[in-house]
Amino acid sequence: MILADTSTDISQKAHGAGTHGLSGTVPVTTSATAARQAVEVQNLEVFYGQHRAVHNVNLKINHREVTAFIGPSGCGKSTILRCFNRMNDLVKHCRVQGTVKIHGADIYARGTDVMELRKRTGMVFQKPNPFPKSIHENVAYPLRIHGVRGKAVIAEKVERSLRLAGLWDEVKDRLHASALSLSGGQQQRLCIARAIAVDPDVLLMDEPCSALDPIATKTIESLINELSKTITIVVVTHNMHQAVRVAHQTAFFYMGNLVETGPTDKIFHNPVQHQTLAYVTGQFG
Amino acid sequence: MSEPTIRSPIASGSNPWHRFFRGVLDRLTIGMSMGGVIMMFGILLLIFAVLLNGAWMAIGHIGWKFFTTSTWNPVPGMDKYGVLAFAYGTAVTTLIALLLAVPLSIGCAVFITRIAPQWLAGPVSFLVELLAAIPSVVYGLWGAFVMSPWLQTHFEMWMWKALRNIKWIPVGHYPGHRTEYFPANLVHGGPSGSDFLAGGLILTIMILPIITAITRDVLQQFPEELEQGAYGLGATWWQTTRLALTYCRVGIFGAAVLGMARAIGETMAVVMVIGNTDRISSSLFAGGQTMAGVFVNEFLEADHPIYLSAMMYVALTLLVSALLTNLAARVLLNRIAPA
Amino acid sequence: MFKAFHKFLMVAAPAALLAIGTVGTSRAVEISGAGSTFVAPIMYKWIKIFQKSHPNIKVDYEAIGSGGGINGLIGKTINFCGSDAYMSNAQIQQAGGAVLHMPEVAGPEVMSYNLPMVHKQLVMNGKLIADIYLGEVTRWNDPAIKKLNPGVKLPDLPILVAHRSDGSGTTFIFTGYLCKVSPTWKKQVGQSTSVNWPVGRGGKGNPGVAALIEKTRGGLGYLEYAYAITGHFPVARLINKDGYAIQPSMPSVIAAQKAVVENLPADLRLHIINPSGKKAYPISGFTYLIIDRDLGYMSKAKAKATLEFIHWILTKGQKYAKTMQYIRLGPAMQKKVLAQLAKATWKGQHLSY
Repeated sequence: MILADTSTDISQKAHGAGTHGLSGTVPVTTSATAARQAVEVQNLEVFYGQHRAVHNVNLKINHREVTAFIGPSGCGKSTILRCFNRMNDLVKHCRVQGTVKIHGADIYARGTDVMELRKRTGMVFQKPNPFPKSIHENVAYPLRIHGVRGKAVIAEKVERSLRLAGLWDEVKDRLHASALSLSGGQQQRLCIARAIAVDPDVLLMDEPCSALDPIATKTIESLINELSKTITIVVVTHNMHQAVRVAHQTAFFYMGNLVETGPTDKIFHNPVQHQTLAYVTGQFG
Repeated sequence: MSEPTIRSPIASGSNPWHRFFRGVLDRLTIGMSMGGVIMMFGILLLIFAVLLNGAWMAIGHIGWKFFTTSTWNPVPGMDKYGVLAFAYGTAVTTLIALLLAVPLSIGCAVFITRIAPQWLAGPVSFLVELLAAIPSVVYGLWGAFVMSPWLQTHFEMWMWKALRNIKWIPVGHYPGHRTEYFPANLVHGGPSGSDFLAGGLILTIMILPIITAITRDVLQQFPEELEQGAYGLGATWWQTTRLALTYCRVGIFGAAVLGMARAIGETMAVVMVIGNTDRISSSLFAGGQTMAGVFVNEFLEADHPIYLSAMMYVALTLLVSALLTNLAARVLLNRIAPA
Repeated sequence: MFKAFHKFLMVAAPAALLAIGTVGTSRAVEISGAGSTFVAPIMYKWIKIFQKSHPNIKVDYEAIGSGGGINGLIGKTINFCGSDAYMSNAQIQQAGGAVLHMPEVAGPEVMSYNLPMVHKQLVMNGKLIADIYLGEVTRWNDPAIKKLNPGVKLPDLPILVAHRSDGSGTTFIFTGYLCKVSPTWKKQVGQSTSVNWPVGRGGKGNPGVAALIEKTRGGLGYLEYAYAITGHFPVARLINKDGYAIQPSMPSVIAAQKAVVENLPADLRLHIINPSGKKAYPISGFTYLIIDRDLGYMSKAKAKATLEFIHWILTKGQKYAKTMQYIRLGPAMQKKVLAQLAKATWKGQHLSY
């Protein structure tokens, strides 16, 4: 309980430190360039049944930057990520309180089109999860379910996504081979291609490299850097070095609380909170 | 102290007797498994041999005409045996059953695995399995005394009124009648309740549980990651479910094949409702007979040699066609299996 | 070790039980019969009562169908056979050439119909039934039916003809009757346990036929008397050879037996089809006990027990027929049957029972 109280305090401070003085008065718009903040979280609480997994989190995520969520297992970082595209709706007994705004629109408001929301906030999972279809069909799948028709249009979008994901040259000669024939790293890039095929504004990545070898990890990391020029990326990671390598901003969570957030450099070299310091220096985690 | 004895790590800790028994157990298990396989082949071969031996006389006397004629007259001295009408009955009832049972079972399985809340899914699942445990003769009696009268007075009456005057495609004619048209021909003769439709429906009910149970089990194998992946891309519930069904198509196909096998082999329940006549008709309301049905009806009282041999010929035909359909299913299965 | 013990249990325990069982019943003579399902209900009753007074004889009867019973007799795997159809000459040759047929009870067959709007009992004759089963009379208001039922308002309904789909002695007797009353039937269809029916639908067993009749207004079919009486199905009176309309009942079937008893063939292979007489019902069959004339293939004790059991059925057992809805043997018939039983021998020697 004590921790919860202080954490509110901390997060308020962190809030101030981590943002650039812009308040939440962003006009309600979906235009990407109009807002500095892609995601804005206010007083977010998540409950699994009686258990409170996330405590009063306030957070802003900058547009077209990479933000890393770090923290030990069970700290709630993935849960928060899954609030951004309402994947928690699928979890039984999960209840979300507070506000999450994406480009100013409250995604928990009544009448929100969840399918549209998820189209605009792509997600990449811990374990590569290509569908047991061909490479081409995997990338075409989100296009088809969102009503894109026409062979040529789809083929063009598939190629563009695969190029963006840096996979095109490797697979262009076997687009109709099974996606399961790809290596783990290729599969994960295919999943990224799949997620960006429908031009999302935000890409949520839930420990995207934890199942990959170092070389594949490196490829994905450079891909994240590349993609962040056009897409806002939130990446949950266990790997602190990864956060340093890819993220502009970093948020540190501990036991359901946002302890501190700010520019990655500052979090790792000059954190305000001693808990953050202890974590980034490897004293626990 | 003398220098320590070094025991081989393999030998250490196991006494020779244990090792001996372990070896015997391994060999015993392997032997038993292989024995089982050989026995199964042996039994199949034996059945085939017995049927062929029994049918030999009929094969000699009737030959290929057995497959091209549909008269079945076992009166001594008249003796005419053709399996065509029964083969037709088996095919039509099985087809009706599959056409109805497969979509229904998939619906049921989707309900159990993906729609029903926990407290409902359990009981529904249990109920489905309970249906599978009901003996077929009970289905038969229920079919004859409950389903069949209801079909005749309600469902078939309704179908008859709806279809009898719709004449799209000419499909030839019944002997002694005007030209018949599709789909009016399906209800030719009017509601009877003891017909191909009743046979198909009772089979539908009987194969529903097995197809549902297997489909449910394979749907439960649909990986959580793929489910999440689809939802994460903005797929609706239905789109995700379709993905799951596509993913599980091999298993579902296998379930349908098992259902088909049961439908082909079912005897008692069908015999109680199909009307038991050796006629071929394109009307769903006409009485018919299946291969398994004629066997259960007449085998015990097949009282002269050629009659008995013709019964064996029917059984042989049933066995071979069951093997062939299973083989065809296997080939098809390999074609739809994911790359 | 444990497995081995388990194995021991699996093999040895049943063997031990078997041994105990054998010891316990070693004094009783076991005889077995098989065949007709039609006779099974009264057969089980007979066995139960018989064993009370004869604790030293154990009788077993398996209702596997008349054909199966005859095969059992041919293969000498049973001591006696129950059959609704008598054996053909070919079958008797297969069985060794000499068998004894002993009618044990009679069973009439009734024409049952479903016409709830008709309140008067219908009357039919053989020609009409044959014409209906040939598909020549197809509606209930046909003049042929009207002529036999003056004053009855008959509906304009199709006749839904029902028959047995399984091979059965009942069909054998019924088609035998049709052969007798209709030359066309004899020529086109004939007599057998299963025939190629010109019209109608088949139901399995009496319940199957009853279901077909009950289900549809206008249904008509033949049923065994016992089944029809127990189920309170409406039945028609049938016009017999001498022109009398006869109700199926015990007296009319005993009268029918009386009518045929003087003209019985020596081997008693006959169904009571179309007998003459004022009171004789036209369609009934006997169900038979069949044994080898010489019982040398079984032990003497078994032969004696078999004859004793059959003798008991033909005498004391007869009084149980009525409660079970079978028709007992008439006195004249009974005498003939007992004379038949007296011909049985064991290795050429007559046994006392």
